[in-house]
Amino acid sequence: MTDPVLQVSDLRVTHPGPVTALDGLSFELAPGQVLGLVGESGSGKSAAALALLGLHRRTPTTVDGTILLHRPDRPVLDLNAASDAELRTVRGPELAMVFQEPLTSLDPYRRIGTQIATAYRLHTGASRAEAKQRTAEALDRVGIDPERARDYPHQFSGGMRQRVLLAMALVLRPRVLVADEPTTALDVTVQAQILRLLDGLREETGMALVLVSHDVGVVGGLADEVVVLREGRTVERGATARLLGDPEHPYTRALLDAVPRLDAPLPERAAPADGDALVSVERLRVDFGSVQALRGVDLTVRRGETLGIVGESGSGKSTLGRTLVRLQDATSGTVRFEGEDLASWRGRELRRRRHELQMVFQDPTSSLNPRRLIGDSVAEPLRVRGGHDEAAVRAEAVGLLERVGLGAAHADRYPHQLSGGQRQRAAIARALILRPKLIVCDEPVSALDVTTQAQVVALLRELREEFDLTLVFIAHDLAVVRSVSDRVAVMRQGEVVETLAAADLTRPRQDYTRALLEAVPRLEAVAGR
Amino acid sequence: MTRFLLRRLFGAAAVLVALAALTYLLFYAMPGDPALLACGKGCSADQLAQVRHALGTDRPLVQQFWTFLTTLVLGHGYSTGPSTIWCSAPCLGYSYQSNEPVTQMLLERLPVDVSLALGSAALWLLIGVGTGLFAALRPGRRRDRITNAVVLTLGSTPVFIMALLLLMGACVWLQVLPFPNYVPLTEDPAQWAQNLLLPWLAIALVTAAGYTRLTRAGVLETLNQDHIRTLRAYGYPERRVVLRHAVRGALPTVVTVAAMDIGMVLAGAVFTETMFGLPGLGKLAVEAASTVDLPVVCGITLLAGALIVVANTVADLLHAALDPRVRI
Repeated sequence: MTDPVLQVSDLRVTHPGPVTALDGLSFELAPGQVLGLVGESGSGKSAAALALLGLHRRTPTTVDGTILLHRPDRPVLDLNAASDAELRTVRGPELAMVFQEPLTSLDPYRRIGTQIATAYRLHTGASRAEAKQRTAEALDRVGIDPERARDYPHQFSGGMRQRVLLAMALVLRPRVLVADEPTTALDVTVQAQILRLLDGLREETGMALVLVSHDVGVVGGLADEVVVLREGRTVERGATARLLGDPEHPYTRALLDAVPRLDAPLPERAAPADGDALVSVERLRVDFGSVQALRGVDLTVRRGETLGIVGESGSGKSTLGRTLVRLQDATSGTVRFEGEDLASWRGRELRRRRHELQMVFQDPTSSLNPRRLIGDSVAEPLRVRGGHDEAAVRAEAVGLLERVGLGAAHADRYPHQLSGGQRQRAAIARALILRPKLIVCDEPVSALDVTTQAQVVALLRELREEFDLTLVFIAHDLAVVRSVSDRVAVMRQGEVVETLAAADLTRPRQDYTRALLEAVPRLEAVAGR
Repeated sequence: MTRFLLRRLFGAAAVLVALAALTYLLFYAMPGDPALLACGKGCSADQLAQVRHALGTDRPLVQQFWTFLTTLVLGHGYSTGPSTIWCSAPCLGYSYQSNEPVTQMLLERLPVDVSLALGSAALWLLIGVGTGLFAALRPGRRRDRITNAVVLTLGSTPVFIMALLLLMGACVWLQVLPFPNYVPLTEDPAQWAQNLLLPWLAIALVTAAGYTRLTRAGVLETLNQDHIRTLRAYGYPERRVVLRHAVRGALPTVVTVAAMDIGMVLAGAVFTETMFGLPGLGKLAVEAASTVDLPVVCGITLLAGALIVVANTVADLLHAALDPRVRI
């Protein structure tokens, strides 16, 4: 192994409380090498990433241990002991960082070109003209038209903004890039592009990469070495192929098993093959001003089945979901529920029947009222509907909370006192309380860790049988969709490209579906390499 | 943009007509006969009827209101015996009390309020944003708490108390300034500023509190945002992070609120004008209301309403100019 560029030993991050977020992380990184940090939320992986750049400074959090940065022709620097001024000269040109939230990580008030050029000039003292030139080159390298340097961040999509951040890192030619969940907020095809880009940049510039992710698949495709973290401790560490192919620690194995795989056997299920149509959608169009979100969708949801809807962001899957439960009105075309045109439900009729259509949203943190007890949030729909006394409502809410794997104790807590997975369970209980016929789940698990994801998916499968539900399951993760659905509709630019039986998802007819499939990071390929 | 401005213009017109109608209704419902007041003591019944006729208050209310509106838009001729005086649009009629054209009365007084508003706004922004930033740099520490306490005390002081304290302090005890006596800017800029210094301070000290809190909250909120973390991760010096980027995040709100506050002061600072004897709109409004001088009151109401609508529109335009994500 060549001389390391970064040597981290016994890194500890302690939040006030004291809460140990990271409990002794050690690793070495050589130029051009990729280290993967994997773990569920709360494992301390993001704390580790921030600590590497000293971003915990000026907060009550303390960082112990050494972070040695080796620089050619200059003394070794311990970043954890360095002065603020020293650290500033290192941030950017030596160690750069890309964040999880591309949508908010750029200054909304400044043109992206200015932001990149300023970072460059700050560290090089270059002229405006030179900085502009370098910015254009960097943008070009990450696949953004340099002409767009004058645009503001909000004019770019999430994937593009992540590229802009990469350009900002790239322009400084850092020797180590720390990428904290760089693709978590992006859909599969964009994720694949960003990962390819990261790998290409690493190869070109010889920079080392610390890749933090909860997704073993993402890390597996790029990393030479993987560290598995759990509650701040290093559970297992080893070369990627070995660790993924033959994990020693049971936790690593559990983590791997929870990853939804496209080649996993589908659970046995008596297919409700010829169920009648519960919902039928004909030539559905939805326009938002000049934007056509749905351009003529035809679709049938059969009674008792689970219909998966996949597609990239912007493909119209959420709009379709919202239209199915009449949260969104159609511009033209019809949505029939049990043969009745949804648009004909007005006023009292709508109020009388709305409970038959329910929805579970992506982000349980924002879809539950933060100032209301979980039990009240779950009971609310039944209270609004009326006709039940308070004791019955309460009993029903607690019963459902127990059914989704929570308890009576959770009813008296606030959303922030629950984990993400628990909040999503509560949201499912809320959707169930009115005994709907149809539940539309819009990305119900994409904000959750793989292990939690697997549990929530299993729960939905059970509930479907128990409550006679018809489910529409919207997600960008093909493997998850495949594992819950009977049929899968693939959407692109406001149209349904094809509808397949879940078992046939890996044998699509359309090129677009094939491209989606190919973008999914494959664990099996990594483990076997 | 054009659509936005057109919409605002229509909205403003509707608001102003409603305002004028409300003012008319209030006056109709109120006790007190303007004709009686204008006619003076010992007025005979005949004279009174004549005055009523001259003022137009003998006609039905709706008719009076309609005349008021058409006069405003088209102008109006008033006969004074043999000759006719033409009052051109925007004509707000003549004061019941002094017989001066109301439009002219308002235009004479407006410069006072413009001086008052712009000067005090400059001061309160300086004080408010400065102290807000000062407090935000070390949140929760002593200087933050002390700044907060001082600012809250000032902010909860009624403006007439503040004015009184300033007058007593500067003119009586320390005797560093003469008692203010308004001098127009066009006459003598130095005297203008010197005489307005205390009124400016009075308004600014009371108003700055809100800006301190806005700035402090805005800067702290921005400092917690992800893009600030990016700047730090790319080695931006802390001073630059705060002064350029965090302040930038607080700016749109501060500017928006400032535009509206300036509109409020422009529309007449009753207490300040009264305390310092400034011949502004606020003072005129109080006088006109106490003498049931309907045209003057109506004129001030309309002008104040218009100024506030304009201030709000300017606030929206500024907000859009300062935040690239806002499109109008």
